[in-house]
This record gives sequence, C-alpha cells and structure tokens, in this order.
Amino acid sequence: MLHLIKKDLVMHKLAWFTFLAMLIFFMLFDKNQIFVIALMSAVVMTNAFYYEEDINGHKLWNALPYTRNEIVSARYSSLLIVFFVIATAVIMVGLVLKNEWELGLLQEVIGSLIVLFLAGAVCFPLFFWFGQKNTMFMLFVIYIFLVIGGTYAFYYLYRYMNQSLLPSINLSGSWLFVIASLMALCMYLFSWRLSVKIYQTKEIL
Amino acid sequence: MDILISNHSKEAIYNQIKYQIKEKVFSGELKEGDTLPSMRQLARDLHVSVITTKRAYEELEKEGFIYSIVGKGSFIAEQNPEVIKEKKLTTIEEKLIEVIANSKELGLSLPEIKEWMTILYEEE
Amino acid sequence: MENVIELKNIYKSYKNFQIEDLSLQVKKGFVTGFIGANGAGKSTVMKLMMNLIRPDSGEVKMFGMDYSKHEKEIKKRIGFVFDDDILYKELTLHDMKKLIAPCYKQWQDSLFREYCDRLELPLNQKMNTFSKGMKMKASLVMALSHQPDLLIMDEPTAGLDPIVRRQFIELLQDVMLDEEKTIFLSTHIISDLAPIADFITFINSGEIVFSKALHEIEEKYAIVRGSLELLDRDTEQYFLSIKRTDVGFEALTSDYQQIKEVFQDEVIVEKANLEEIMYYSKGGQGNVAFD
Repeated sequence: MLHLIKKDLVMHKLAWFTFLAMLIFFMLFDKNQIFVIALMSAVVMTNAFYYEEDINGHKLWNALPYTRNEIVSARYSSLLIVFFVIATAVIMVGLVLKNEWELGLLQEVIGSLIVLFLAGAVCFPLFFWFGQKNTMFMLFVIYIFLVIGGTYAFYYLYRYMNQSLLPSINLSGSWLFVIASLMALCMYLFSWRLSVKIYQTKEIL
Repeated sequence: MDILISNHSKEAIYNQIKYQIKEKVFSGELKEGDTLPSMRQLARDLHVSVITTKRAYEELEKEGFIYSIVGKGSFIAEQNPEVIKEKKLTTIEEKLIEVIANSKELGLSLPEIKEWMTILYEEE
Repeated sequence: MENVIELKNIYKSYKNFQIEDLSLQVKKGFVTGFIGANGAGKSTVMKLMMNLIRPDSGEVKMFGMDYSKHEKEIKKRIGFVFDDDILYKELTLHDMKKLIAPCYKQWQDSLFREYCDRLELPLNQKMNTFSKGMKMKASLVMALSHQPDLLIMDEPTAGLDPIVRRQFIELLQDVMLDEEKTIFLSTHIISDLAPIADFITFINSGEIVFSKALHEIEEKYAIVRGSLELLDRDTEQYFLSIKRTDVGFEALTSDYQQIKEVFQDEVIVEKANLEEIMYYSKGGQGNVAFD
C-alpha cells in the first residue's frame, strides 16, 4: 500500500514545484496559515484523484495485485501525509520569510486539519462513488469550495467562540480544539469505511 | 531434424508432423533412443499450437514409434522390422481403401484405376 | 486437465445486455482463444475474471482460489493486457516500469530489459508518442516481466500491423514453452489465433456457444451447399444454421461425417473456418442449436 501512496504523491514531481510556488505566493500575501495549509492540501489531493480518472487508472490499479480496500485507504492516508508535509513547509517558510514564531500557529495548523478532515469526509466517498471523467470537475469544485468556505467558517467561528461564547461557559480554547479534532477525526474514519464499502461494489469499466 | 509443414495442405498439421517423423524412422534418420524436440519447442518452431504437436506425439506413442518419460522428453522407440513392415502394410491398405472410395465417388472403374496405378508405378 | 480459470453459473445483468448461467473453464498449459462479435460479452467476461466487476451470482475461481479471500495472491500471478491503453501518457516507459515493478515481488528487471530490446521499445520516450503497436508491445512487456502464470489479454492484436502481430505471436509462443503458463486472449481477428490457439471458446449474446479444441472444430464443422429441394423438415435437422437464396442453400453443420453419409454427393461440403462459424451463428440465431 505504501507504493500506492507514493504513486499518488511522488509521481507528480513537476506539480510539486507549482504547489511550492502557490504556497510562497499565498504566504507573501499574508493569508492565514489555516487557509494556505488546507487549500494546498486539497489541491494536491484533487490532483491525485483527477489524474487517476484521466488515465483510467482504476482499471490499472485494480488489475495489479492490490485490494480495493488498499486503494481507498491509500487515498485517505495520503491526505494525512500531504497535510504533514505542507504544514511543515508552511511553518518553515513562515520562519524563513517572517523570521518569527507566530503565536496561534498551532491552532491554525490544527484548524486546517479539522477542515481537511471534514471536507474529505464529505467529498471522498463522492469521488469514489461518482468519480468519472465528466462528473469529476463538479465534484472538485464542491470539494475546493468546502475547504475554502470551511477555513473561513472555522476562523470566524473560532473568533466568536473565543470572544463571546467560551468566557461565558468557562471552557478553555484548547479543550474546544481537542473536542473538535476528535469529532472531525471520527467523521473522517467513518467516511473512510464508507468509501471502502462504496468502492468495493464499484464496477470498473 | 527437419520437419516441414504446409498450412495450405488438406492434411491436418498434426498428421503432417506424424508422417514426417515416421518417415524419418523408416529411413533410419531417426534411430532408437534419439531425442525428439519437446512438444512445446516443436510447437514454437513450427508456429503451431501446443495441442497440435501434443496430438502428433500422442498418436506416435500409441503406434509405438516413440515413448515419453515425464520430465525428460520423448524418444524414438525400439523398432521391430516385422512390426514396421506390418505397420507399413496397414498404412498402404488404408490409403488404397481411400483411393477406391474416392474413385467410386467419381465413377472410375477398377480397370481404369489399375491402369492409372501402372502408369504411376512405372514413372516412379 | 487442470483448470486455471473456472466460471460457474454466472449471472450478470445490465440494462441492455445480460449473461445468464454462463460457465467456462480455461485449461492450464494451453492457449485459449476467446472469440465472438463485438458486444457479445467478451470484455464483460474478462472483467469478471479480473475482478473488475462482480457477478450478480455464480462463482469465479482463479487457480482454484476465490477473489474474496485471495485477491492479491491471484493477481500476483496474472499478467494483463487491455484493449484501451491504461498507461500513463506523460511517462516514459522507464518511468512506467518504476511505477509497475514495485507492485510485484517477482518482477525481473533483466527480463524487462530483454523484452524491450527484443521488441525495439525505446525506454526514454514518452508514452504519448508511442504508436498503437508500440503501446501494445509496452503493455505486453509490463504484463510479462513478473513472469505471470496466467496471461489475460483483451483484444491485444486489434489495429496492429502484420509485423508487430507476428512478433507478438512469437513472444507468446516463447512464453508457452513453459508448461505451467496459460494464455487466455480475446479477439475478433481470427487469423491471429490460428497458429497458437489450442482451444477456442466462442461467445454469442452472452452465451458460450462452444468451447473446444481447435482441431476438433476444424474436423467437425463444415459448410454445406446444395439445392433447395434437398431441404425438408427432416434434413434441416442436420444443420445448425441455414441460409436460403434463389440459387440454393448454404448451411453450417457440426457433424461433417454425418452430412457426408446422409447427402453423399448431392451437396458440396467444405471445412468451415472460425469466421464462417461465427458468421452463421450470428446470422441465423433462430436456427442455432449447438451442442
């Protein structure tokens, strides 16, 4: 299965230069880290999904000695790896460009993970279910929109909670993060199971 | 060992292979104990299917011309001159019966066939 | 004889096509040609064998194993060539190899290079510049380099020039030198099969019409031509399919000897080739009743 993940991420060597360029561009324009990490990870995942549809990769990888469980699981694992790579890159670039460790960076990183988990939980099963050359584009639009919308929603929700809600119920911000992360993780794991189920009955034509 | 087959002959390919190996036994080119190419090797070299050479070898084995040892290959069997003669006579009889049947289809009479045979026999 | 592939009582239905109660076996150590018109169900059956689709009911056994439990073991032993190219277009053959090779433990790089040399395949040229013949050769090399026990190929020779076709067949014959190897390939260009096929399986409208040794077909099937007066309710039974024209009839039989005995010299009897057998069974479906 490691090979499946590697294939999704490493095969697009040239694409990674584009990703890096995008990353630096966003950071120069002083976007929020949460936005940059979530969007970049989503773009990498979209690329992996798109490429497979484009060359009829389902047929190839299903004919090779892999189970469908592995093919689906590789995608879900890829997101985690992509996230870690990009989050690290953002932190590093941030340190180099701004030469300072911003407070709240950890919250931003975890925030982007929560957004990625939720958007992935909703969209990945759809990719595996309806994924075809002609429907894929619409699904990608939905996915990217969810990620972008999600980051803003998260940002404002977080600010609202910190300023008005949390002080009144006497709960600290970090607890909220833990709970939200766990819930997002559960959703993601549930979606993972669902995608395996969906993909197992899929007709590879 | 040369085996030459024709794809356009009326004779089935396995029969062509069979006859040619038999001929080589009769002529002494192949002797007792000689190794034959493996079925698969022969199939590849002649560009025919494995089952074709398999059938040729199986029939040769049944008729006592060759024997096979699993894992070692096929070899020319010991040939008893009396048996060979007997076999040849049987073959001639079969062919003659075929000639007669075909002649009857065309309405050739016995004297006509005999005459034809005589001419051909003397020409050879 | 041992079966490498065994399909038992397969049912599979689509909107406008169905397979009902299909069973078929592929024997180990031989080349089986899978023939049938376009849309007869060849690809569907091959996808069932590759577990790309699943039957509604019935059993698919590969090497005596089930896909539900032994998917990886089975697929490790299979090499495949599909009719549509599934190679990554922007990759070179060398990159493609780096992608496929790690999927198999038994991959032999020396074998891969040997095949590439022999088929004159450039390693550092992108796939999208490959001709149709080169793509097919590349697929074949990919399929063979892990030394599979079973080679499954869907229309591998479609659209190839005669030279490539010849190279292709010679390569397959080399593979068949090993009696542990089995090849199952579909085609509608029958002449491709003549030199190598041991068995022929014929599918028509989702049904297996017959599955026989090639020489058995050549010996038994015949085209019969004669005058219309010879046909009546009794004599018609000797034929699988009959075509009537103003100048006589033309029919297909699967019992050459019987026709010779029944009609003697009143008809012309000629050996039927696979194309004729396919044509007649397609054209006169109402009349076809193969054994």
